[in-house]
Amino acid sequence: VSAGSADPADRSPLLAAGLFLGMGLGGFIDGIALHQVLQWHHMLSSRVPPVNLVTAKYNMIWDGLFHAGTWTLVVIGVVLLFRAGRRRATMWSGRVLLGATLAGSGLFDVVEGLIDHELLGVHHVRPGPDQLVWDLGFLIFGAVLMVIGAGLAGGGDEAARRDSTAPR
Amino acid sequence: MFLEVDLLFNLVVTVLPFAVCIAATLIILQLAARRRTP
Repeated sequence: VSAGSADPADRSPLLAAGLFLGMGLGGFIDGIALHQVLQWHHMLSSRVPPVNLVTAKYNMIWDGLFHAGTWTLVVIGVVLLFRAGRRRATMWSGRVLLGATLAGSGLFDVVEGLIDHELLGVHHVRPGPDQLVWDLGFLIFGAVLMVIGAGLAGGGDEAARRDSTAPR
Repeated sequence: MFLEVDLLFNLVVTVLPFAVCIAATLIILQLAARRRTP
């Protein structure tokens, strides 16, 4: 990831950190809320439907590997955030970080939805007769997060500078 | 039953969204840096 120049208005370090944190945390929200609490959206549920304990355990293994991936993204995000905090040139704006995090979370939903739900069909958000509606809702939710996040993170320099703290 | 399931395919479909997301993020950062450059 490019560190950017010594421009005091450099928001790219926070953008990078926020995007990775958002993708990882968005994946965790997906995993905790949809996979575990609601028992929907299991990783391979179209190939091995979790209809009994054996098949549910099989899906749990792949849900676990999915969580390992989201954990890795969060670790990368934390490292990038730490590096951003050490750079004097970073625009230290909560608005930019929040926007990038929301955009990253939405990006993850859109990419995961397009690849796993629509392209490969390995699982759906909520398998059943209405699965297309749930899948489309998931994509729309991700797209809305991306738009809101991009608006916050990429908004006018003046707004971001106002929100930015003084150089450390 | 487990032997019937293609392990490699499962790995690919699990990893693929992460790889695409990271690639998309790197592209977004490049575009943002280019927009910032006068």
